[in-house]
Amino acid sequence: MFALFIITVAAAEVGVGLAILLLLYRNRQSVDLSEADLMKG
Amino acid sequence: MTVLGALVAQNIAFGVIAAIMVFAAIRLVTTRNVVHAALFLVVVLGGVAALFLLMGAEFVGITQILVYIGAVVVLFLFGIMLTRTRIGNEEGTDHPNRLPALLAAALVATVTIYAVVSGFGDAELPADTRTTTAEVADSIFSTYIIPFEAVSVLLLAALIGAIVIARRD
Repeated sequence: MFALFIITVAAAEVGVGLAILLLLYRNRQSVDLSEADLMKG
Repeated sequence: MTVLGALVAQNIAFGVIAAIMVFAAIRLVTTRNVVHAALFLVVVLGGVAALFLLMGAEFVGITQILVYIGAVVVLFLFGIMLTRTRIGNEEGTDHPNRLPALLAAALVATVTIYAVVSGFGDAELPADTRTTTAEVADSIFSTYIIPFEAVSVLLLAALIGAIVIARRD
């Protein structure tokens, strides 16, 4: 029973993660993580 | 078939499915063709569904096939085929940070295995773990009605949130 709820919560998280990645691509024109270094000192 | 015989058969089936899944997972990350990678993902997810069925969780197993193989992987394949001009022998599927990735994977595997072993040890599963779809439906709408409504709202919120984040203004 808990497996069902965990799968559902995981699905919700995947949706938000994909949206964040889409936004990353739209703002930086790249999904290369080594280019996402705005916070690097 | 005796109970012991059924247990032995279950263990053999688990070993076979797990071996197929490990092989497919390794091929999934080493193949140079993204379409082959998506098809190996089908094998891995099918193995997960088979393990759920083996545990007697028929509803979760069949949902796994419908949602993951039926929807997610088909979405992957459509995405690959609609966006790539050339499919096959790709450059750039490898990454220079192989060793740190291997270390991180080994660390995650160690922590997971240690957590499972120390949490459950040699505790035995009950002999009959079957749960029919009717039982799942009954308990979802009676015992677990509050968590069910909670995850429903959570999914709705995640959906709206994803649309708000990804929408072009």
